[in-house]
Amino acid sequence: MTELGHVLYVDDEPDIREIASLALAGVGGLRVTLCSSGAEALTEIPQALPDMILLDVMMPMMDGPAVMAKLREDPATAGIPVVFLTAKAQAAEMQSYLRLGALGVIAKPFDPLALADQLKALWRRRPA
Amino acid sequence: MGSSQGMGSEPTQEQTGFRLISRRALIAITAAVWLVFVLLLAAYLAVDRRKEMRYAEENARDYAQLLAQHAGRTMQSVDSSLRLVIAQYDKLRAEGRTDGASLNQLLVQAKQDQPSVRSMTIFDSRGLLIGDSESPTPRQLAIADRDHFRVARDKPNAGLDISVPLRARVDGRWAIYLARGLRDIDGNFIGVAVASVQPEYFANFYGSFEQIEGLARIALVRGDGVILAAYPQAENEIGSRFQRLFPDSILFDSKVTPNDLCVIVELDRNALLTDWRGRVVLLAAVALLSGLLLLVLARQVARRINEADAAHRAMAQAEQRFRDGLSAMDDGFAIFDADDRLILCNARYRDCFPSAAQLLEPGVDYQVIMRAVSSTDLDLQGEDIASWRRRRIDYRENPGRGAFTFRRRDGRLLAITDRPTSDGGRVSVVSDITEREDRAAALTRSNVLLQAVFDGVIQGIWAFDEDRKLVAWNRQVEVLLELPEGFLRRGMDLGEVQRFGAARGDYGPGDPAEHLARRRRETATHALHNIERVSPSGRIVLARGGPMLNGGFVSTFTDISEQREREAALESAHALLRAVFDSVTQGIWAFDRNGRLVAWNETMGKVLDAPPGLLCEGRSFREIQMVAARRGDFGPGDPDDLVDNRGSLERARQPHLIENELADGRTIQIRGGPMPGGGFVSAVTDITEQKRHEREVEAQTVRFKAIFDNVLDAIITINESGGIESFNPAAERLFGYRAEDVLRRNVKLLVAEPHSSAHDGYLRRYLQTGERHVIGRTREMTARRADGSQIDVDLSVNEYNLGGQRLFVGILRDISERKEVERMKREFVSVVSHELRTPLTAIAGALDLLGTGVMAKQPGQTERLVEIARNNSHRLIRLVNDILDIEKIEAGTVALTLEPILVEELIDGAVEANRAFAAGFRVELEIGAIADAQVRGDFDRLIQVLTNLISNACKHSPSEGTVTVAVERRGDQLHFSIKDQGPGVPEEFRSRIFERFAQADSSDRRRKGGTGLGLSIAKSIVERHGGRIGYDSTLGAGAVFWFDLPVWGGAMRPVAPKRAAAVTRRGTILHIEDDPEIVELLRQSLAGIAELIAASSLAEARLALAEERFDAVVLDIGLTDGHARELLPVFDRLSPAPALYVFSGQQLDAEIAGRADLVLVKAQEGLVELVELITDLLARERPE
Repeated sequence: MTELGHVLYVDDEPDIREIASLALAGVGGLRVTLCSSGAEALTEIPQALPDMILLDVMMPMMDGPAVMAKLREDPATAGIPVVFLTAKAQAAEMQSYLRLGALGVIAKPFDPLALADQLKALWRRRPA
Repeated sequence: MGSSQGMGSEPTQEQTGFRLISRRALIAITAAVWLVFVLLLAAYLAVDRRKEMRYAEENARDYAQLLAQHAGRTMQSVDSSLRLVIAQYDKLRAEGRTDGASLNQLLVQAKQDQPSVRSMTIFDSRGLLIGDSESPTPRQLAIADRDHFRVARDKPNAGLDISVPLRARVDGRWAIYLARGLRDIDGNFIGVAVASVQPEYFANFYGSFEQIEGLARIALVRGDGVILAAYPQAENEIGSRFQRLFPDSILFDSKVTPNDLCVIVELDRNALLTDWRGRVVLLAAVALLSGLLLLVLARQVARRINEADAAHRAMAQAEQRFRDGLSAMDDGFAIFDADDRLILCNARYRDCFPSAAQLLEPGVDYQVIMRAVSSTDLDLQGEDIASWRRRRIDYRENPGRGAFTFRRRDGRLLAITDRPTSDGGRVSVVSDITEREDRAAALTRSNVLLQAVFDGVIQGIWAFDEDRKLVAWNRQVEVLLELPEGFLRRGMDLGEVQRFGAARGDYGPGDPAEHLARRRRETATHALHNIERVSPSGRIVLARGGPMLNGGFVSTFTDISEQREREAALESAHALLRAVFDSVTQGIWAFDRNGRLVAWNETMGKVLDAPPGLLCEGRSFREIQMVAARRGDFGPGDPDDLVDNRGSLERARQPHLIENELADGRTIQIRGGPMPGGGFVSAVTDITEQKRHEREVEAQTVRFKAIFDNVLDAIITINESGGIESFNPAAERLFGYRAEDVLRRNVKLLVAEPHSSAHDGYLRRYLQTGERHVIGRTREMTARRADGSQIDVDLSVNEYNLGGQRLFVGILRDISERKEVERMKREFVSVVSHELRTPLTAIAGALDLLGTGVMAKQPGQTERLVEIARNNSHRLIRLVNDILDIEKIEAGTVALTLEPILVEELIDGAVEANRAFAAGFRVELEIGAIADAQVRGDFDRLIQVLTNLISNACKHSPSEGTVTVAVERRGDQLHFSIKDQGPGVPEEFRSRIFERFAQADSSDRRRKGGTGLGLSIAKSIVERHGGRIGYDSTLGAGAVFWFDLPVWGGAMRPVAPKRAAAVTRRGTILHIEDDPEIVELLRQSLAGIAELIAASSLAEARLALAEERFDAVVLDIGLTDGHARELLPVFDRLSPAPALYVFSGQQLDAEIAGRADLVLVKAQEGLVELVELITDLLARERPE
């Protein structure tokens, strides 16, 4: 079982992107690739092929679930686990993301010190 | 039998004589009666004739007197006219006016009111006509030869002269001239005044008395016997001497005073007695007829007498035959006189006692006969002859003991019956009853049976013979009369029974002897009787009976106590019924087959409010109907027609139910039907209350129907099997079905699956188990509409019972909107939560990272984190403010402070406030054309709207772009517009541009720092101000966001000064205003009290102020050629200074505000105040 190494994070909020990047790279020691929109992520992911994709839900033009659906269509990216990081974190909403096939859902505001560990824990629990 | 003695004699001569005398007497009496009758008639006629004559004579005398008075008055009247003429003529002569015209005038006047006068004339002393009532120019006429002229001329004191009738010279008609001489003051004759009187005048007057028409002639005659006038009038009679006209006449005359005239009434006796003669003829005929009638009657009576005569002869023959028969009869028969001597006997009687047979000759004493009867004749059966004789005599002396029977030696059984005769004698009949006795033995048995029946009848019966001896009775008589058993016995005298009864007190208290005497008198005649008597024990016994054919009488006795009791019971039942009848609340009456009232109760009178006495036995139905019709109970119209139309006859034949509204407003119901045997009975009920109740129920129903039809909720009623019973209009709208399409169909039609299929099951289960799932609760469900779409509804079902049928009423409310609101609310919470979490995430994350100190090592990292935290904090604050704002505005909890706001002021404020913000985006703010108007609103909130729209425009403007703000008046609306030069609104975003957190590009939000709530807030505020918001956009060519608000005071109307009446002087007002509509408005408002001079510019105003003195000046501020303040120096120079009222929609400067008497806003309210101010000003002033 390999350790989680490369996380690709997609969010339209630049401030949060910055915080998350610091939390994952600076605190968690992970390699982080940042994207500011769904469209950018869809071009980046097939090349970067990260271990895990961290997706914001509410984004203009293309929201998180739409991006995930596109990834599932491409066999090359279909297997990459997706974790949602979202401020739309009411219980029912979180359940609906899991039903879409997400590995996990992390609510905003998140703890920057624990974010990397949370992702690593999810990574370990991912289905074979 | 007693009469047979009289008939035994031969018919006598005396009887025949009676016949002759009676015939003769008959004729004599008849003749005498007729004669008397005729004499009476004759006497009557004689009296009648005298009366008739006397009456006529009296009348004639009266007429003569009356007519004499009339003639006297007429002559006197004409004479007074003549005197008048004479007096006037004197006067005219003195004045010298004796010309024809003057005299004509005088004479015409004098002739007036003299119907008898044909003309009046004046002749001069030569007898020539000088004045004529008929012509102003007198003809040539001379009368010097007439007697009346000569008399007047020759006799100075002649007075009035009445001429004999003369033929007038003018026309030849008869005339009587009344003349008076004219003399001058010295007594010299100067002429004559003449009145010409027409004899026809009197004749016509006499002819007008119809009572004497044909009976009499009337004549007015001069003292010398010359007829002046007469009626009937013969032409040759006038002027000649009076002579009788009728062959048989009586004359009555009466003097006419003071003239020498006389009125004669000649009564024609022949004519007078015409009627009387008619009566004579009539009565003669009557006498003749009655004579004939009597003759016929006499003949009839005579025939009857002949018949009676024949009957007498027949009777005499019958007597002879009786005697013959007597000798031939089987029974022995003997008659004895009062001295008990034999008068006659037949052969059989002789045979009875052979030993005494030779003794039986008329005159022999009965005792002798008895002594002669010897034992050799009799079978004494051991009894000695003396005893037998005693017994025989005893029987003979007491006929009541019945027949005396004995056996003869030859074995025959004989019975002797003895009877007293009317003259005190006796009759004895001896019958051989040997065979009868044998039959009697057989008869006895049936008699016993008969007696048993006789005894068995409930009624008591007894019979008494003509001697009032009891001959038959039954046991029941004793029982009913409560006589001792065996008290009655054959032959008992009625008197004995009565004595017993009287002694016992049966006939009441008092002296029994008196009662007895009375009873005897009462029962002396065996008349029909029917009496009730009370037995000693109190039972009521009805005794009725009458004479028997063979003399005597029979009575039956019936115990009618029970019948009486029943009658009494019936009576009380009837009284009870009557009481019930009278106390029922319905009026009841009954009419017989002729429509006459036969029964009614008191209530009827009350219900009909009948006048007292209207309801009475025999009153006709029609009469009662007429009273009601006249009172207006059958509505307006002719009472006769109304009653006819009521069809009272039909009522008698068939059941009827009528409702009728009475004139007093009450409603009655009449229900009835025919009575068996004709007539009808009706019950009348006052149903006013019931009707009122019905109307209330009806109104209630209408109200419920209105609710049912107009309620917003759908109401559906179903029955136990699910069939739809009712479907209201709201249900039609909700489901899209029409009621007639769904009625009677199963309700599952309206229910969405899966409940639709299961609905029958639900209903069945409830009906079986009573388990309630829906009933009595409210729950949500999905309904199916006609077009198949589904709709969320709230459903509440209740059960009720209507006439034994269980129904379910369902009330459904469309909650799709509520659902939508809930969905939106959920979404809003989700969005708000997301929007709040986003900056919080940045803040918390930055602070967490700072706290660890991990980032401190990297240069600039700490500062960057602090900046992130601060930026996001600000964003969070704005967000929270906006969210609170919009919530408050939408919830209506923000109280708007509404006040008139000058648009100009508003725009200036908003632009100034946003200039710095715009500069941040390098955008220029420009103010376009701004309308001179006011809006009514909350200043701060409208600034907020403008700020939001301006900042929005700035955010979407390119660098160096321009945002233009303008306000345009469009009718009564002010159109605010904010125009930018940005990219325009993206197509996909247009539908939700005013939604909360809606931003075309959420990245914008970060870039522009918006919260996504600005437009939503603006929309809410505008809508709260009664306006609307929108945008016009072409992609790539910028966008114009706009909102419309109503103009404050935009639509002003002329007002009428309230105290206009107090204004005594018409004032002059200068109105400086460039808007002609405002000028016209004020002109109309002040029309009644002041003249308005308008100045549309400063120049015109100066001119007007220089030329004229004004009571007040009304001033607008902004004018085409300058500001109103430029006029202030002009006002200062005016003396006296007019009142200055500023009436403007614009902002004031302090100078004008300080100088003006009052500043009013250009709005309806301002106009009202302005008009009142001017009114007061003008009313206050008192001109010299």
